[in-house]
Order: sequence, then structure tokens, then C-alpha cells
Amino acid sequence: MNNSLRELVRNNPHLWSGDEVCQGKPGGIPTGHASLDAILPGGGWPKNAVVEMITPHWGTGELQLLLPLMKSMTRRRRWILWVCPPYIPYAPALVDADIDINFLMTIGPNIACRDALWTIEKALQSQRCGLLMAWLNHLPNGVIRRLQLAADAGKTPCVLFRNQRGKNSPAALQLQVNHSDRGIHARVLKARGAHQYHSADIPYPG
Amino acid sequence: MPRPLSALSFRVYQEQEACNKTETGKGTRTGQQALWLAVYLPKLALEVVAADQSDEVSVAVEEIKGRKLVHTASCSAERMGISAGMALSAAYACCPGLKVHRINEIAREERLDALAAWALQFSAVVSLHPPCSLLLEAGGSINYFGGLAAIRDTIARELTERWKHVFYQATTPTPTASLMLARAGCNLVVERGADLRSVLGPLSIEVLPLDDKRKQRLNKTGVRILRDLWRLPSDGLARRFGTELVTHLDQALGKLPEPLNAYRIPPRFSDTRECSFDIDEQQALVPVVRGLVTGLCDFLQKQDLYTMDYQVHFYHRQDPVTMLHIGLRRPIRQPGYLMMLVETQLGRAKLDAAVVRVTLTAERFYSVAPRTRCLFPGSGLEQQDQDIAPLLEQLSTRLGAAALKGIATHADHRPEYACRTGVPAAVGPAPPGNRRPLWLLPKPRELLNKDDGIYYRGRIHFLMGPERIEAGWWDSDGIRRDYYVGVDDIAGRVWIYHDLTTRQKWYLHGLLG
Repeated sequence: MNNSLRELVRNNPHLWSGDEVCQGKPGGIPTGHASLDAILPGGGWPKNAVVEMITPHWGTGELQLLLPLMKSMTRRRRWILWVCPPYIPYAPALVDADIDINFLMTIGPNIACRDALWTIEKALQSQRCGLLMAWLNHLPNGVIRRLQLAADAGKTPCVLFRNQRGKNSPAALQLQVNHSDRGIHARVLKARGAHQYHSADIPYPG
Repeated sequence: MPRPLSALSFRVYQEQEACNKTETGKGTRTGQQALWLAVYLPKLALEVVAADQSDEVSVAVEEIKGRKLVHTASCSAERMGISAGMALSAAYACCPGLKVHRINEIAREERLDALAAWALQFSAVVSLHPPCSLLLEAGGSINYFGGLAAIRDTIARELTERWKHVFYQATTPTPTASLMLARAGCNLVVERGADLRSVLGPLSIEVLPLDDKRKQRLNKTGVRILRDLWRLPSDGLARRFGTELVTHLDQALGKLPEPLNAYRIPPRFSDTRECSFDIDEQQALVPVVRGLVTGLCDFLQKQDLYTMDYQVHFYHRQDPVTMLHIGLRRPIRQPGYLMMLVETQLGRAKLDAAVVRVTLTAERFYSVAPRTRCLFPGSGLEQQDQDIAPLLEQLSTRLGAAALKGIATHADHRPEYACRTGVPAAVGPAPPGNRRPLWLLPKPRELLNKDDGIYYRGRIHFLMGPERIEAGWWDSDGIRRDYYVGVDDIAGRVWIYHDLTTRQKWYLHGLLG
């Protein structure tokens, strides 16, 4: 990069260099999986934002990716809310993963969709929880945008698990998670602040 | 049990004499001396279950170890030889046409509470002595009512005519002596403490709060009435029958003070706002409700109480009342907090018609706000726990308390029982070292078993196993399974088992997530 270009980038806040973003400026929450950190802009989960995890079926490895985050949150005595989990979060496995289950609270699953969205918004705005996870399939973009605003205002990360990808989602990060022969296959579908998207294989622990 | 009162040669008044005496001696009385009026209701247990048993042969029975025993017998039943403690079959033998009622403890307690509230009109200090006695301090009320006799007459009249109770009432300077005399069935007044010893003397030792064994021992030593006890040295008595007995006797004679629990009418808050015009907009109701909630908070502040639930009623012109019930997870009294919860509920409530009047009532109060303290102060746990509480409160107000669940482990080898959901999230013992799935299916799902393998979404290859988990005969949910960790081509890692009991089938039980 020549000097005049560098000068331009430095003086103009609307310009930035693409490779810088892709290499990852620190600022994300480390995921605990090195190969996943490498493909995420910011080197980890985006802070105070909505992450969409898209899996063809529940339980194909998406929760495995979040275990290190859950562990660090409960270590810091922050609460984790599970909204409408599809099955029973199994306490022995969570304890095995070194998660303090005293800080977990499940809500639902037998609650109306409207109530679930209200719960997510209130919980995000309250700034009382460290992480919010929700399993909801029917989410219009308007709703995700609203949750994105709530997450930003409440400085709380929010992970939405979905079976299908929504088009033009306002979420900060869209991650497709599949099962593969080499472990969990994660592919970035959309990430704020990145101009090209990569994929990574994360081996199963143990 | 009671000796005939005519045998007493002391300064004791029978009811009629007492009336005359107190009236004539009114000028000399100071009205300062404490006089305790005890009301004993011997048939209370029967009277609350049988509406009118005055002239019928009826009993209230209780069941002790499967045996039905007579607890209380009506006066006419007693005349036929039925007494308390008798087996019901024996009572039937005395009187075949006997009417039997089952004893109702709750009704009896409620009646006693109601009587205590009623008795507060005679005295500021009323004390309950379950199962069937009341105590009130009458000394301070003598001037107001114009004599002790007037008080006693009013109590007697109301108990007979309004409450329809059989009763005895005794008045002495000490609570214990009053209760003893009333329980012994004496309707009398003792004004001077010095006379107590002589008055109580002829009472049987049955009036003492002793167990049967010690009463028998007293009987064997020749002690039948309290006068016999007065003659015994108190140190020996304390050594042989316990200090409680000596204390009780001293309290009866006024030598020792006797602390009592004063009865108080339970606090209740109710406030109503009339709307100046019909309100059909829910947002317009918020200021009205805010006023009521502020009133409730002022009340709580003044009484130093906390509340855990309150109701808001919305009255319409024609339609039935709409009620909002607001339950809390812990006792609180912060106005902003209580208001936030009402607003949450109000936003969801359906008001079919315009509101003309709003009422807020709260009946259950707590005197202290229970606070869970941290074992290690300063570790930050306390603060964080407190922090989440308002959010959970708000969520449970809208979703219902059952929607919020913590999770906990439980010491059981069967996978279904090793995880529990509920509010108190307590960590149980550490799980076994084997791999466990992050998701457990609420109900195992049967898998397709073909010749070439087992199918869930795709074909399952085995990774780990088998792990045999079996037995559970003690709660008739026995299992016998071989668990495997497998990998499904499409769905990822799964936790499956082979049911070895009756049907040799394969099931999916968890997802490793």
C-alpha cells in the first residue's frame, strides 16, 4: 500500500482496509475453538449482537461450539437463559463440561411465540444475563432487527438457533453448522465487518 | 373434676355474688390491676362441625392409629355415659342413635381466631390458647364497661346467643390460674392474688400440663389435688417432676411473670379508586393503578411489611369483574417494582368493557424480607444473584412460575433420573465419567432397525459402547439397556440404546449436540 492510500484510509473514517478486518481485529469474545476464531471477524463471537446458528436439525454440534462460552460466563457468575430449548438440557453433560448449572435457567418450551420473543427482548434489555440462547424457527427480519437492537442496548450476546436460513438477515453473524466426517463443519454465511466468508472444521472434543 | 364451690370457705364469689360485689365496690376499685378473664369452650370441636347439637346426642370423633375415638361428646351424650377418649363402638353401645361428626381442626382454629377478633372489643390484650381457650385482660376495661360483671354478662350473652357455645369463664389476677379454673369448669371471679392459693387448692391435678405418665406418678404419691402440691417442697418437686411443673405453679400464683402471645387481627390492605369517567384504554388505567400501588407501598412501609401477592380488580358497568392476580417470587415492597409487574400484566389483560372502578387488595404479608446470604461475602455471587431476581420476577409474572426452570443433577444411574428440572438449581453429585449427551429426549424415540444397520436420519455408525445401564426395580421403573455413542451421517453424534428387556429394540435417547 503506498503512502497516499494509507493517508486516505487514516484520515477518512468511512474507509478501511479489507484485509485488516478479515485477519480479525480483536474485539470478539473468544469461542474457545482456535479454528472457529480464525474465520470469525473480530476473532470470536461478536459482542452485544445477535448470532444466528443455522442447523438442518437440532443437536448437530451447534451447542458444542458454545460450551466454552457458557463455561466462561458461568465462571464469571453470569446467568444463561435458554428460551424454548427443543429437548432437555442434560445436567450431567453440562456439569461434565465444567459449566456451573446453578446459573442456567430454562424458559419454556411450552410458551407462545409472542411470549418467547417478549422474554428474549426483556432479558436482553435487562442486562442481567451473560448469554441468551433461543430455539425459534419463525423469525421475520423485523423481529431479528429488534432483538439486535435489544442486544446492543443491553450489551448481551444472543444466539438464535434456526433450521432454515433467512434471507438478508440483520443478524451480526450467520453461521451454518453441519455435521461432517471431520467433526463440526461451520461455515460463515454472513458476518458484519468481513468481506469474504470462510469455513472451518472443529473436531468433537473427547 | 371440680369440687363443689359451696365447699370453699374463701373470699371467692360465685357468679351472682360477684356481680353484686363489683358493682357495690366500684368506687374503691382502681381499675389498674390486671385481671385475666379466661374463656374455655369445652365443646368447641363438636360445635364447629355440628351446627345445632344442643339437644341431640352427637359426638365428634378423631382417628388415632386407625381407631375411631370420641373426641368431644355433646351434653346429652355425656348424660348417656359417653365420654371423651371412648372408642366409637363403645359409644354406639351406649346410644345406638348417636350422630357422629368427623373432627375438623381447621374449622376449629378458624373459629378460635374469629372469637379472638370478637373478644378484642372487650380488651386490647387477647391471647389464644389452643385448642379451645381464650384469654383476655379485663382489668383495664372495667371502668369503660361499668364493672367486671357487665363484661362477664356481655361475654356470656354473646357466646350463648350469637356463637351458641357452651363455655366456662374464670377471672383471676394471673393468666394461668384463670385458664386452670376455666378448664376445671368453674365460673368464678378471684380479685386478690392472695386468695389464689386457696381457690386453686381443690382443683384436680388433671388441669396441669403434664403427660399421663407423670400424672400417674403424682397419683401414686398420693397427690390428687393442687393443695397436696402446695404442701410439697418445691425443690424436690422440681427434681422429680421437672422444673416446668414448678414454674407453672408459680405462674398460677403470680410469683413468676407469664409472657403471652397477644392476638392481632391480620393486616389487610384494600383501596378503591373510582374513575371519573369510563376508561376503556389500558394505558389510561396506568395512572389509576399507580395511585393504588403507591398506597399499598405506603401501607407496607408504615407497617414494616412485605407482600408476595396482590390482586387488582377492575369493575365494569355491566360485565363481570376482571381480576389480575400478581404473584411474586419473593417478598418485596419497592413501588417501582410492584408497578412494573402490574403494567406487565395489564399489557396482556383483556378488558372487555370500560372500567369504572379499580380495587387493589393484599392479604398475605411477611414481616421480614427473606434474604439469602452468601457463604463467602464479597465473592460476587450475592450481587449477581440479586441482579437476576427482578428479571425472573418479571418473566414469571407474564409466563407463569412453571415456565421458568433451573436444572440440577440427581444421584441416579438411570439417565432419565439423573437430571431434574425445577426452581432450586442444586448441583448434585458429579456425573459418571462416561460420555453423556447435551440434549436428552424427553421420551426415547424408536429407531428404524434394518438388516444393514440402524437408521435415525441417516445410518448410524457406532463410536463407543456398549455401556450397560440397568436395574431400578425399587420404583417399578426398571431398565436394562446397552448404551452406545454413534454417529449419524446427517444428524451428527447420537446417544442410542438397545433395549434388552422385553422388546429388543433400538432407541434414540440423546443428542451430543
